[in-house]
Amino acid sequence: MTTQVDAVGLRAKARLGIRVAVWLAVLTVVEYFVAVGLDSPLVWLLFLAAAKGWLIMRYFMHVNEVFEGGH
Amino acid sequence: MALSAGAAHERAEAMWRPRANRLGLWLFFASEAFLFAAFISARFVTSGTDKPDALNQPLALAITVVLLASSISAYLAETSIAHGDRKGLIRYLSITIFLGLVFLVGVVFEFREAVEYFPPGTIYGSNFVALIGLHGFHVFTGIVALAVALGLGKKGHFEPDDYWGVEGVVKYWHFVDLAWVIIYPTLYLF
Repeated sequence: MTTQVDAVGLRAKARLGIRVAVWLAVLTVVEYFVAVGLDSPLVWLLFLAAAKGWLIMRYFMHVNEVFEGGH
Repeated sequence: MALSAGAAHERAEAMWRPRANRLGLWLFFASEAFLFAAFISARFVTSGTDKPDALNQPLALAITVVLLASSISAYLAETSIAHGDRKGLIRYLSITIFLGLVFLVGVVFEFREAVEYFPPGTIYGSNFVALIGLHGFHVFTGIVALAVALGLGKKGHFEPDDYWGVEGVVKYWHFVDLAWVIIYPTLYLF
């Protein structure tokens, strides 16, 4: 069976994913320099890890679908 | 129009099955999170926020970036099949598997350095080896699952309205990435 490719929808979703990935990369680099530069970086690192975790769960794992259902 | 009992069952199944699958997977993630939380808390309880100077920070940062990159390729694989692009599914699943293997090679180098500078006999060393080993095993099982999805995808399985096999595996891969987002600062940065 041949399936039609939804190129427009695919591009839009891909752009969103890449934007999220760029944010994750930026936060990781910030995390590294915060850890290297600050004497007690604990609170900042917790905040940055939480932000990265939220981005992954919200945009990559689609946690909201558990409560909404459907694709 | 009245539906036959079989058709009604199929319709209900199609409506509720994806939700039940997702809920089941998230409950599994919750149980996994408790396991990782136990190991992470053990690191802080036994050695506070102390860490050895010999930690290879550039290597840890590099494999973190590799794992994050594998998450975007996994996302693109799922997005591809959701929009009917089978070639994209195969391409991005292959990239994800490759990046996962690169991450594992990095982990092997980490292990070698750990044994040399802070062996498992030390408090930090035992926490390090346990956490990295636990996560590394999850990465390995994720790669196996991704390879199974890749094989099925190549054989023509999965369609835009039926790709739970890909979705489940990709979500698991993101969970492995999420665990590393916590483990990386726990072992290297605090």
